[in-house]
Amino acid sequence: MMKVTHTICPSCSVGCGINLITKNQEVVGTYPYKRHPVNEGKNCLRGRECFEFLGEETRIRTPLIKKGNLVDSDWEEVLNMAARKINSLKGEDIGILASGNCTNEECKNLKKFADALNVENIGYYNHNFPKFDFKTGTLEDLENSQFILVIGDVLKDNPLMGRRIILARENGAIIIATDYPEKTTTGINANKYIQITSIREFLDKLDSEIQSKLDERSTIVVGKLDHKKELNKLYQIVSKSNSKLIPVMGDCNSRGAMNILPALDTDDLKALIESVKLLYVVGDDPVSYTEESFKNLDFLITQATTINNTTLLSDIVLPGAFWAEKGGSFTNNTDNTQKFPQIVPAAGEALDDVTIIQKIAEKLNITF
Amino acid sequence: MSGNDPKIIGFCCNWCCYGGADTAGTARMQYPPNVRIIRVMCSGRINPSMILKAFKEGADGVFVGGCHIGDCHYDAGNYKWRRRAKFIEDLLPEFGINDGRFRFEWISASEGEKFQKTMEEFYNTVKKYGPLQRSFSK
Amino acid sequence: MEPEYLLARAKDENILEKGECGGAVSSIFQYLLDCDLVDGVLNLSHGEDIYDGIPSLIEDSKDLIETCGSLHCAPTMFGELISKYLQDMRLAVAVKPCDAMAIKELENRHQIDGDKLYKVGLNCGGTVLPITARKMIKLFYQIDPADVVKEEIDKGKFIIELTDDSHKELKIDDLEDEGYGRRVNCQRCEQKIPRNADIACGNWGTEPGWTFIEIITSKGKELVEKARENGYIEVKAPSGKAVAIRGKVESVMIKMAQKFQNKYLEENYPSLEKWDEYWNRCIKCYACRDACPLCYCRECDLEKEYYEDSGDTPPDPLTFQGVRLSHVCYSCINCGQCEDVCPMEIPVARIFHKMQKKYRDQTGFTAGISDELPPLYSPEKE
Ligand SMILES: Cc1cc2nc3c(=O)[nH]c(=O)nc-3n(C[C@H](O)[C@H](O)[C@H](O)COP(=O)(O)OP(=O)(O)OC[C@H]3O[C@@H](n4cnc5c(N)ncnc54)[C@H](O)[C@@H]3O)c2cc1C
Ligand code: SF4
Ligand code: SF4
Ligand code: SF4
Ligand code: SF4
Ligand code: FES
Repeated sequence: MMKVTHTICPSCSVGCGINLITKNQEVVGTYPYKRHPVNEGKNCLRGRECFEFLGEETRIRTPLIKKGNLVDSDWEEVLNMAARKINSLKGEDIGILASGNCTNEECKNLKKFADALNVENIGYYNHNFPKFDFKTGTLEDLENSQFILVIGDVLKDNPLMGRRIILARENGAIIIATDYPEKTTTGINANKYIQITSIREFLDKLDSEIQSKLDERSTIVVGKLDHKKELNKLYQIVSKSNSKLIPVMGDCNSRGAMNILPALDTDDLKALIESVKLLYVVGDDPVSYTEESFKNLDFLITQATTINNTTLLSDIVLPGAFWAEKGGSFTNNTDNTQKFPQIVPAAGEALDDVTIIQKIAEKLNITF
Repeated sequence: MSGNDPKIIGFCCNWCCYGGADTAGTARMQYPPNVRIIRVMCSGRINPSMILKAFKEGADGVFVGGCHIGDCHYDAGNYKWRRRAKFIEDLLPEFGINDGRFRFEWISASEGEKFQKTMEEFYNTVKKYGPLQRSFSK
Repeated sequence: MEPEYLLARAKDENILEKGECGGAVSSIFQYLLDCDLVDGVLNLSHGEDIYDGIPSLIEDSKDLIETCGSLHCAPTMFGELISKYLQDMRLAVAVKPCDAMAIKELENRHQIDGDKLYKVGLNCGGTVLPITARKMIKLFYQIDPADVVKEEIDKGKFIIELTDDSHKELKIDDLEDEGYGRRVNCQRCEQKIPRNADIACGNWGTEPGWTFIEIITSKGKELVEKARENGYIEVKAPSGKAVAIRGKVESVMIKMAQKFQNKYLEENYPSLEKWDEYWNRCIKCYACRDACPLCYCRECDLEKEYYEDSGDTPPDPLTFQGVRLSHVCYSCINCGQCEDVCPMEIPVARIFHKMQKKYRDQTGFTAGISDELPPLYSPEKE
């Protein structure tokens, strides 16, 4: 009845291993996973709290449909309704929005689903990180660097990436950190902290000290961008100096989703939503980023685990599953794809997300 | 802390030491005004965290006064406190705080003079150390 | 109880074959489950490879075969698993000395009911962190860690056995000088034979294919006798020479541990400046507290508004680790879990162990061994 099972932390993009403790098919805690090469049993607070979402009060346990308010429904009714609406529209009027939290398998299924319906308006919101396919640095590169430039508060936001920076420093590396606030946790622990007002300006007029230090034993870790063009600028900088670049994105599968779906920034996101009549959202909460874009939408379908701003606006809500309830794979920042198993059954009538996508497809008589 | 005038927190037990302070006060025995007294019901009420918190909030010295051994209103509170006090003396240096900045004494309600003398001594000791400069700074 | 020594081995051939020494530990578990004296056995199953020990609760004795053998690269802790999740069960548990010490402290605090527990002790020369072990095998043995089928620490050497049956060994001292080898808290650990368990099992003083058992409690004595009577193990007496050798090895190990205590807690103890550097990294993630078997409070002072700094990191060490030290360092069993899980590589166990040692020198209270709570909590007038 008590069981300890390996999984991957879903709380950020570092891809740490973590053990879940289950008792009678319910996750009750976490346990260090010391054999995992990314984090060696160490997890930050967000990581160790990852299982608490599973039993959250705002958890969606049944399909919901809007009849004035959102009310409980059943799978048959919502699937039929979704299929009818989708059928009534052309591909160009339909938009699909995945998320950096979707598993690779979900992204692939959504892509095939979109292709079958001739939907071109598909993507996932990746904040300001654009799609890229250059080779990124590894955690070992980072730990063995002699010079590290950190953009953003990586120590605080992605502690197990931060740990490698600390280890490098213990080995004598010079760390320069930069960010907007007066102080950051990374800055306090760097040899030098540079407070900036614009990432673009900082990159355009790169400090001569930094320029002189960048070489093949250096790494730039970038945890935040203001604009997608800045990544390209960074890539030019590392290419010229032969140093390594590690983009640290927001979600556990930001990097994996990128290989399958277009990565959208805020403008792209708005444009996508505003150009369609029906939007199918899987695993994200776009209303919280751009509420006004939803004004002219005719029909909103969301597939989600907990109530959020987007589910509240939706016409139908499909109850999806948390990572521990479905299994799949995530690709972390350093391009490492890691599988994880289903550990507990999904709550209530919730279903794993790939199954939901396939059920809609069945109703539409499309196969892939 | 203004200039070189130390800030001292004194935790005094209600039944003895606080009375001692009172006696000193009514008899107009002068003791340093920098000592801010916090009344607690018993020295056994004080745990190390409170001392640590006082230093964290900027105290330059922390004093604890309880009833004489054998006189605790709650029987054994001051025995318990004495064991904790010993530990605090061991712990403070681990965080770079001289254990001389912490002192405890047994003072009865009638010992106004002892209270006054103790405070003066402690004040002078802390003054000699100067303002507490914590090495930890963010 | 007078110590009693014997050699034991499994009657079941599979267990004898798969057991670390004589498979006595697994056979005793088998007896307890088969005769319904316990509801479950808590020990380690093997995950991906020999570096991956996963705590598992065995409820069917047929599954015990999967948990045979010692994993020296699995620094797990059972104390909290029992107190938090398995309180309601009658259990048998395989305990390293640190597991046994944690359980003892939790029993003293009424977080574990000792009457429901059979503590089958394993002697322990120390554990190696799994990733450290893999790196070390690659670097110093020049072997692919995946080719290692077994590892062992014996006579001051870390020995690996390869798929082709060959062995390779290096002196653990040399590895540890380079920052590899056993965890540093294990290097400092004096508790090599878990005399706070019901029995202590090991390979010191034994013959090939047998497990050496020291009987510690009367519960342990009865356990071994009944396991034998019921046909799960066979036993014989060790030679006096074997017992003497075992005693000698133990005292050498303890001396070494004391040497390491001196090294890590005195000679190389971090300076105040170094500690400030460490504390500056703390991200207030509470991993150290959560991993510590002694910290079981449901409402922790560290999260009370009164002691918590705004949301900022790093927290002031005085009211963060200072407060935690003032709550539990007297009972610190030096299990190293806090340090293992710290994302910021802060050597937390060092300051806790140092303070416990000081406390022990002053009061005689040995964490995890003494039968009562630290005298700090005593109502006595002394
Ligand atoms: C880390 C470690 C270090 C040891 N060092 C010494 C030593 O220096 N000297 C000595 O005399 N003996 C030592 N032993 C004990 C010895 O290796 C055998 O475990 C013991 O002799 C019992 O043998 P057996 O064949 O009866 O055990 P088995 O029947 O094989 O049963 C062993 C039991 O231990 C459990 N186990 C394995 N690894 C761990 C672990 N890391 N933590 C908790 N439980 C575990 C298994 O799941 C199993 O239940 C050590 C054991 C371990 C785990
Ligand atoms: S650093 Fe990221 S992946 Fe690792 S434990 Fe924390 S939230 Fe999870
Ligand atoms: S403080 Fe650290 S070493 Fe001590 S008992 Fe707790 S986890 Fe173990
Ligand atoms: S730090 Fe203190 S209050 Fe918090 S869990 Fe540990 S013992 Fe309890
Ligand atoms: S585990 Fe490390 S970083 Fe986290 S709170 Fe403890 S000391 Fe701080
Ligand atoms: S009442 Fe004064 S010390 Fe207890």
